[in-house]
Amino acid sequence: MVNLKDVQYIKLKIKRRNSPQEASYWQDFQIPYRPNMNIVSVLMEIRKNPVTADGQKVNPVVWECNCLEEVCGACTMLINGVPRQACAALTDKLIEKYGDRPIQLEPLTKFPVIRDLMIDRNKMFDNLKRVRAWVQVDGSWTIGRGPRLAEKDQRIAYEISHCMTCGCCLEACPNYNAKSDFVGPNAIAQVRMFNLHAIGRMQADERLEALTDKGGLQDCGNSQNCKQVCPKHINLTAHIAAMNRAANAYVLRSFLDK
Amino acid sequence: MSKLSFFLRRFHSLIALIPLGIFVFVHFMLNSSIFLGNEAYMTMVNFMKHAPFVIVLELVLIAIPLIFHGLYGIYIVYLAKNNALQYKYYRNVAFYLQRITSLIMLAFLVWHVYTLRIAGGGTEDVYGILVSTLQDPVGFILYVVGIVASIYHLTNGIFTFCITWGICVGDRAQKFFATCAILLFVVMSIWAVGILLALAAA
Amino acid sequence: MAKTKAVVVGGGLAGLMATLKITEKNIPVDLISLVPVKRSHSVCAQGGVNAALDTKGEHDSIDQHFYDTVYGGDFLANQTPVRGLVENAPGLIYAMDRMGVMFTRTSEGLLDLRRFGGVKNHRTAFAGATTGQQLLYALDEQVRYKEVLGLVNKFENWEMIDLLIDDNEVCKGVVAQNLATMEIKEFVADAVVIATGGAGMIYGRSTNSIINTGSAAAILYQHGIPFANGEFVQIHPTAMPGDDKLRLMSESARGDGARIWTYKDGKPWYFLEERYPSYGNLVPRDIAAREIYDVCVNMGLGVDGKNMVYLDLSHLPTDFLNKRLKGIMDIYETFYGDDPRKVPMKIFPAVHYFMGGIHVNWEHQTRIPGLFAAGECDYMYHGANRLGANSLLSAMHSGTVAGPAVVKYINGLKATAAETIGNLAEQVVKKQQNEHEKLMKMEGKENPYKLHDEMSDIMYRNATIVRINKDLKETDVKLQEFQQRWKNINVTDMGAYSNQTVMYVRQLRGMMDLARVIVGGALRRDESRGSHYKPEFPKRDDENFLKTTLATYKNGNPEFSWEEVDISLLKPVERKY
Repeated sequence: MVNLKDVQYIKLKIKRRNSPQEASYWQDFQIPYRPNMNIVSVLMEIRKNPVTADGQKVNPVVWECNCLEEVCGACTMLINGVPRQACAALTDKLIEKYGDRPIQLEPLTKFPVIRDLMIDRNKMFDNLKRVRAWVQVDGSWTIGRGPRLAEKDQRIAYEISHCMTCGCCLEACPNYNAKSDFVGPNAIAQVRMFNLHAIGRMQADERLEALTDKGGLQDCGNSQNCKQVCPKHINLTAHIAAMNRAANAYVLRSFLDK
Repeated sequence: MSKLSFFLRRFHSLIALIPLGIFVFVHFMLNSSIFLGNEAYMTMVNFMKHAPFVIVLELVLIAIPLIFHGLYGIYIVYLAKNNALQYKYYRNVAFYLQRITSLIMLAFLVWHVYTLRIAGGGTEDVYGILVSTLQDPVGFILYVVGIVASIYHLTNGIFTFCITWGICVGDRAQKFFATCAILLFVVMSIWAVGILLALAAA
Repeated sequence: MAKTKAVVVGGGLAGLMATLKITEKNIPVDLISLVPVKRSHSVCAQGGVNAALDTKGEHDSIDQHFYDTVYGGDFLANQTPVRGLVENAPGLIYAMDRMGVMFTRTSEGLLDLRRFGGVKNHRTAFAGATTGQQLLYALDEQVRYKEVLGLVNKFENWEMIDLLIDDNEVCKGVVAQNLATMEIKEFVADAVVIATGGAGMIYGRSTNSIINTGSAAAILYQHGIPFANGEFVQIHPTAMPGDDKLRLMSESARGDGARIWTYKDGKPWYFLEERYPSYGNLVPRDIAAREIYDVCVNMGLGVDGKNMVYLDLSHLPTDFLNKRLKGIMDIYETFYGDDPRKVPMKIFPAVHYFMGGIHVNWEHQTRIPGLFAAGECDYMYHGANRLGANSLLSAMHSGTVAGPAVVKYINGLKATAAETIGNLAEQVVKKQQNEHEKLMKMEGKENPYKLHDEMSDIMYRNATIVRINKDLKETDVKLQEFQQRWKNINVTDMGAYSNQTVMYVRQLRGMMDLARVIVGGALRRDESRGSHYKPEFPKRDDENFLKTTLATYKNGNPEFSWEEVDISLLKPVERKY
């Protein structure tokens, strides 16, 4: 166990890449220790003086961040091998847990790298299109009170509606990879949310149709990593199981009804 | 057909339990006749060998489902990018073990079926081959490993079956079924080793 | 007429709502955003959204909502648009509910309502303590559907860097830069909606997100469009002190029963409840912030001698808290470590919201035809102080005004921008390409991030809760010094791909311009009104200053003028809580 009082430097080992076409490489950085920092504030400190640990002047590290309070999902990266938001990764806690060794930062591996720690997560938004993740209303105009919704359904759906499309679940999922076109845990859970909504459930079958298509929920292999790494503690495994039930019933029903 | 993968995955899951899982129980029950002595065991083996339509039943209820489950299973194993060393969560290790045990099981079954069902001749020969294999320490260990791996694959599979078919959804239900699966694994493993020991002592 | 098109810059609540309204009339939209729209700053809004739904048996009404808003804003807001805002509110909330926002429910399945500051009724619909996130996601989903229908083209990770304004002073589109490839490209359009939010980054640390630099508003300002009421910057009373950000702890905590206190003579002192018996902890934000400042700075009674007081939820039942406030409790626990269910939170005021912004007419059009502004970047609804939970409302509402106004404007055009633009687009793109090259070659001594730190430090010191003319003058001199030093910046990043620093250098220039608008406006307004407080002039002065401040860019400096406020519906009275 490291005593934070003895720590002089916050050390980082960062996987860098200049552009999508170039190869990646590692660089070490260190900044004088300050308490109560997080990975974003450390990276901000580095860009004020972009010099590596061995004194070499380099380009500042490029990464995405926005809200700095773990609600926008932008700053997701691998921190000591775990996918999480850099803003919520407090350096004191990392040092206490992993000791004084350099904190390792890498871009997520399941998405194309743009530069350094910046990645392109457009595929996640495309997957939301695949499963028709919206309530199909007639229009945004005013037509009076919306339908009532039981509080117990709202509680389930509200949990799911925290999903910030950050990509942690996909990063950790062994079945989401270059070999498959799995929609991923987050998109499956979103379907459950829309199918609970009083208007949304009118298009429930369309979403289930999409979920049982190629790359649908059948590609889940129950490793349940998604639930473990979700920064919003969304019980993705339970939502997938619920959609399994709904999808099986849907497929059987549509076979028998036609 | 865009639903092909859904149907294949569900079929793959279903046949693992019905008939294959059920067959394993029956197989264990029948082999338990060794606890009643060698004669009872021989009677059982003889009965099974000469049961009517045994070839048809073996083909339809065991061989074809098993070959499908095995072949499609290899494809599923190929699809995953395992990361149990990076994410050492219980379920992820189980996910990895499910794939590892599937390969052990496959190798074991090829050996088991080849030596006892295909190469082995009459009832007497099969019995002899089996007993002598088990009396050899290496053979015994290979059998234990093969069977325990198979039981793991089956019992963990029963748990994931419950999720795949939407039988258990919530945390508490999943925990209950997961615990049941572990208990079943322990019980069946002891049972299997008991049978092997009895056979080796024959 | 050839095909028409609109451009919306900014994908937060206002931008997405405008996009939705425009595409519903089958006019395609190019949506330009710094970040994937789902990561816009609207996600940070927590407590809720106001609408007089009157489902709690309190006889709440649109009139009361109107009164509270105008009164809360210290009568500086134009009353006709505010009336439109509060009248639209209930219908808007119901529409959002239909679109799938997971609002917190009552046992009867209706939208639950909570109390908020400056209001005595339950008027705030909410989704736990993540209302902004939920509203944004619902609009994001609707716009995604429009994208599937081919009506929306998203340009995410693009930054608007210039406007296309022709010789007749008509807006014909924008020029934007791709933040990955650094490509500069024109977006020719018949109308443009700017919905780029506030500018908290001028103050460095605030409750705002990193992207809230105000640089888009600064570009409009540099094109001669007035920036109105810049001096009115809301300081939120309750934020977590932090190294990199002052994280908001929603007013809804107090709406749901949290109390603010500190120790005095060894005993807990609930100073807001004592000083404001009728509103207690739910006085408007400007007042609460000033009181906390007074208790900490003037009386020296901050917790542990530091500039902090307690925001205490610990007396409330855990299940109640988990249902309604989990969002903020999680943030506090993650970033501070203590569990607010058990231990009082430590908070201090922080820069939060820009009441002021781009000057627009009541249809949200700037003085340039075809150029509209909506959301926090406009100045319309909040006067001198915004009431809590009115910002989500004004963001969405302004989209529902600007969107249809764009449609009306486009339908009234005789020829499309594409037909009439000539070679303007090429010229501006060329100009901006040269500018980019120039910026890339800046090899001076100043690190842009450090220069920003210096600017935000002095802004924080002199242009927040308490404003003193001598300090404001000094600040303006300093800001001009910073503008000179900006020319000596070193763009530390030599990368030709996804170069964040060069973009930041551009943004910094805009921030400096707006900082001068804030300081100059504050300096000239010798009164105290809403968030603008001058101890030297502690009273509101309607005779001289019941006016909107307009800052217009002239030769690099702001030039100030005044505009009458619309008080046609409610006569100004003294504001007392």
